[in-house]
Amino acid sequence: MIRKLGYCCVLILVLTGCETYTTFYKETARLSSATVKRAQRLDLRQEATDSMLKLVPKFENLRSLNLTARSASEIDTVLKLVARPELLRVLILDSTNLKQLPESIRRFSNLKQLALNHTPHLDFQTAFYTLEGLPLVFLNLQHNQLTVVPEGIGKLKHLTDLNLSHNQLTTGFFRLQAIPRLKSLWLTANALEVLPEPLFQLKTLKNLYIEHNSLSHIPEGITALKKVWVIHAGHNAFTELPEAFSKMNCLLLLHINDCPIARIPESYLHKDSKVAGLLLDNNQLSEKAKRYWRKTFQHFFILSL
Amino acid sequence: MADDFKVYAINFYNFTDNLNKLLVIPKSYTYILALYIAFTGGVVAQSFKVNGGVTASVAIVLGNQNQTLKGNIAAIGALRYGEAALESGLSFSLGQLLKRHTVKTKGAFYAYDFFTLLGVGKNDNLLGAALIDITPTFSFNPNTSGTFTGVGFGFQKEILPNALSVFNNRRGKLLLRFANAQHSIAVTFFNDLRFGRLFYGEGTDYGSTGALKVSYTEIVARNEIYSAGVGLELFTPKQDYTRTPDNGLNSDDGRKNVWHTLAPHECLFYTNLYAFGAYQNTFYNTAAKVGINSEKMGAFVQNTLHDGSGLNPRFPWDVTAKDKLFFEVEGALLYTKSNDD
Repeated sequence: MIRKLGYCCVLILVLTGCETYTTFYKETARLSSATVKRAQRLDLRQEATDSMLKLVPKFENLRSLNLTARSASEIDTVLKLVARPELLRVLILDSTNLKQLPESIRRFSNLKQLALNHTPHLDFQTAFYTLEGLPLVFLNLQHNQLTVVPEGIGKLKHLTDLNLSHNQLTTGFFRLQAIPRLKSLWLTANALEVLPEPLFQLKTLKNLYIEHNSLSHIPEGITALKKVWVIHAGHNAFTELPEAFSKMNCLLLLHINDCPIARIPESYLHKDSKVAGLLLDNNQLSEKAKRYWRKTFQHFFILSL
Repeated sequence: MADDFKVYAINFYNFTDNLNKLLVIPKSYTYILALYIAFTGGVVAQSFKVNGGVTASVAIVLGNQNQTLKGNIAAIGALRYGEAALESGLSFSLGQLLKRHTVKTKGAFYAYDFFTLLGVGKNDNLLGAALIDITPTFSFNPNTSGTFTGVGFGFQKEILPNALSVFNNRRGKLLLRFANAQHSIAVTFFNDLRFGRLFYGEGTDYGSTGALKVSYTEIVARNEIYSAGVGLELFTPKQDYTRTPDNGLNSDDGRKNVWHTLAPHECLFYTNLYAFGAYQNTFYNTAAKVGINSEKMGAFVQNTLHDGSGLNPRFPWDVTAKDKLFFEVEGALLYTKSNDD
């Protein structure tokens, strides 16, 4: 039994390794007949339209395709031309003037990652309906001037990682509760002054990134996030290390650099505090306080004050 | 007799304090080490079996990543009471650096390495010396026939000059050793993180961090020994904790957090997967390592660890870089002294 489990682990590692190597570790090719046979990552940002139409159908091993800054019609045409759409894992459609996602995107039946950064004109609600059924695990929606979490995001049932950084989100966070497997959420640089209560209902969340906001306080409600074990909360307005973090069920690692933090509450000494890694660079702790906490936290697996 | 014990106890505590100050190590280790030294000093009853050895050497290391001239002294001792065994080793190196971690630099450096194993069996061959990483030299005892299985912890630290001093992080070691008569297999897992009270890394997650070394050592004659094995070691520059980890390199097209790294060594990455061998007789020791330096492999190994735990951001490995050759040869002139009670 143990031997079989061992074989399974090795097999999974090898297969995962192959997938990683082919999708992410290969050189990203430009459009040319010389790269047609071996290219698995293709960047079409600066290619002539005629060349794209002529050569794209000849690429038969594409895992990653970058169509940043292309027009809506070019994107639709190229997506229709990809020879083996079932192989594609990553699609990058940043900085476009898309208003609707083309239906042709549904050809990519194994698409795992989609980037839609800098596409502020896109109708996201309709886009999510278009993407429904695709096995997307990561969606990148940075720099889209979003003020509300778009309706329909719960249609993406496979999503585990969602990046909503560099928007101006203030409401609609309850819609994230409809994503059943969400593990990592980026809300970096959203001008948040307080963490929205609906976030505390994200029961599957493990990693929360809330840097570069205007947070000065963390509500006790965050303790409802029973699975979160990493929080990045640097570049905020905290004047003391938020006590609520020390009461979280399994928060292990806290990055909270570049704030005006001058005090660490005694609650971090309590045996119920699970925090075992702390990065507090560029805060306003006195040298005496740093010496004290370095000694107190000397058993932490990672520590930087 | 009672007075003797009282004097011994006072000296013991003074000794552990001094040792603690000298090596900057946790007290749990100093007590173990002091106990070991006290026992090997003959303070205990005759039912204990004690072996020990000291090796002094002068060595030159030449390779495409490291070039040094150094003097080294290493001591190893094994103590057993019936089938219960304790083995400890301590090594200290001091030398002149020409090149380290691929960076050419001149200046003095020093390093220390310590380990302790606890186990069962008749541990007399002293081949735990293979668990000392800063030098490949051995003290050994060929007159053994027992078996031994041990597990333990250790740590090592290197103090480098100039701009490389940022990488003076201490690494903890988790150790396994299996021995039978003149043969020994040793496994060492290194990391600079801290786990509990015994895995005693610096807690920095940069520089020389994770590594794995598996070696086979055999005493082939009364004064001859060889060792062979494989190793994997990773090196990364220091991450910039003050910047949001949004580096695009090695980010899986934006999905993963990736650190930015600090100058002047922001691009200093390597991952060596290598085979090594060493031969030693009464007068000299030679050792060699050869393998590949692959950023792609380093990214894969470290990404798997970082993503798997989900704790820390990745490092910006250049995953498209071509693999390079890694090689290193070392020659040492020896002076060895050992005893077998």
